[in-house]
Amino acid sequence: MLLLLLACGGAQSSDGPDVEALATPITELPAKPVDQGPLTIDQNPPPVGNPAIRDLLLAKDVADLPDRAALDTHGDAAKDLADLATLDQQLIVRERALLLLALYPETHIGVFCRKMMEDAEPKVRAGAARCLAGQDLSSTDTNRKALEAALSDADPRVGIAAAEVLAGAGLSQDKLKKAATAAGVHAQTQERITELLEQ
Amino acid sequence: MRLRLLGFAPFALMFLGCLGGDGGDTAGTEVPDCGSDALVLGAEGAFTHESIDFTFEWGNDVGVSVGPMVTIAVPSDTSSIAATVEVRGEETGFALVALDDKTFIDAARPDETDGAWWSAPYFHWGTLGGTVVLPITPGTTPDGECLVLQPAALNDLEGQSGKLHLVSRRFDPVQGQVDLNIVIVGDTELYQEDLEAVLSRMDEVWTGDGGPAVGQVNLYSTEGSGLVRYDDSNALRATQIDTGSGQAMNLFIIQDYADEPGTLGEAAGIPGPVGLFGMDGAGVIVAVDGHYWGSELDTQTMGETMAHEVGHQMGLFHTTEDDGSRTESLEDTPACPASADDGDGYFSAEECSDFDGPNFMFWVAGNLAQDQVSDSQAMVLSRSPITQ
Repeated sequence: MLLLLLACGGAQSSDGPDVEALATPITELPAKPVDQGPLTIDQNPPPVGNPAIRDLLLAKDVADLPDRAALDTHGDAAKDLADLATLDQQLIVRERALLLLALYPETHIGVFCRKMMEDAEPKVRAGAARCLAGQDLSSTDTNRKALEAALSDADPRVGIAAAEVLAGAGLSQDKLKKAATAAGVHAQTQERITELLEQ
Repeated sequence: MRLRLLGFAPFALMFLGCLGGDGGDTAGTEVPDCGSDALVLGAEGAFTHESIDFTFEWGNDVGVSVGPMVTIAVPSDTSSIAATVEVRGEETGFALVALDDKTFIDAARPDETDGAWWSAPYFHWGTLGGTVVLPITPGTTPDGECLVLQPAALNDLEGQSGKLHLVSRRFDPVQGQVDLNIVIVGDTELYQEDLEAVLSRMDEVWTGDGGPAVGQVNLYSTEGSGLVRYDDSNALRATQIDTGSGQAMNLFIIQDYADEPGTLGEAAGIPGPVGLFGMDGAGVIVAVDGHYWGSELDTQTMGETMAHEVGHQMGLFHTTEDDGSRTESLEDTPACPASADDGDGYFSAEECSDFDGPNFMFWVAGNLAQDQVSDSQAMVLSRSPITQ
């Protein structure tokens, strides 16, 4: 047993075999542009949907988001989730509401989520793509085509979400193969598509 | 964080239950005494990092790979110890942690007995950079003479090498401060003014009820994208921090996870490695984009996320879990009673507002300030080896 004693005032790093990157010191971060603030965030905005549903979307760990049984104890949860996805001011609430709408396979939810894939916010578009995982994608072309188009979204969160939903449904293998090398598809999306095709 | 640790627990509880404890040996592992060849921990009045290389063998009695029993003489001025098992890319932990006649972790004990894996007080499990800290509760302070550690790994690593890191603090515990090594990952967009507001809120949460302050902030940057694949989290945490201070918490700020939607941030474990960098699990990741209100960064919530996730990394559990259960051994954090639930099986911060809803380690945020810190939580934070 080899004992290495490195007692000192500061720590010594351990040299693992695959140290990936080096963080270099910086003095400070960029200054906020003058036209950006400070702005006041209203911590008590007008309520959107059922507050009890919204409260459940504030889990500090995403693994603790509620299941459908818990959501459905609060009445029309799908409607409340849709309202939150559309109107809430907190981006994380909008995204998580869409993720949870994947628990509702009703056709009108698919229509809603497909529309939300046009949102200006990438996290919302990505959440909307993942919402479509709850739909029967093989029965109609509309949702599938929206996901295929999203493969070339400029933001990889959207492209990866679309790829994972399509691959998970066993669909669009040709489109995925083309996107894996096509110009205009984000490199991170392509990386994920390649992994999915190899599975 | 909770489910990612628990994800393996049900399977392994069955697995360890079949093999551990010889089917009825409630005494568990026999703990050796510290002889004259025991390692003397640390240096007087100092924060110290020591490491020991070892070789694994398969532990038939416990169903995990194990290293040797390491005996450590604990000087009387030791206020805290963090021990980490490093095997790059492997889930590691400890088959045995014992201090004098107290056994805190013993993989050979039957399930759901004190000291067994996934049982009080540590609720220990194998993770990347598996770590234990003393103290994690008032009953696990290192006020003993002989510490025995046996490293472990979940996979069969027979014949492979590992490294045991010992980080210790040998000076009087004070309320103190925790320095931060903050790494801005790639092209993550974050302004100085916003970062200062975030850190101010984190400081406010911790110090309000006697926890340590946020100390010196060392800023770093890396190349590449601020959108990080979840599978690359470990590589990110293993980033070498150039001239970084070891007696500090490593915080990696990313723009967002590229493929882990809805995630605000994540610690590496409960606890995760502290006082180390450039290895598995050595830091907390916080995502900027999850903290936006419209087009504005919610620095208050981001500060509370940092306080919460760093709390996990330093050894604090949720005070109440989503289903009202408790995976926590601190007695002075109020428990939210079953009667508080509105019937959906989830315990919101509002439902628990008269109990632990306002605690900064509650499992869910809410429309109330969550900046309460219990005395025991403040003790765990203030006595960490990285607290100065």
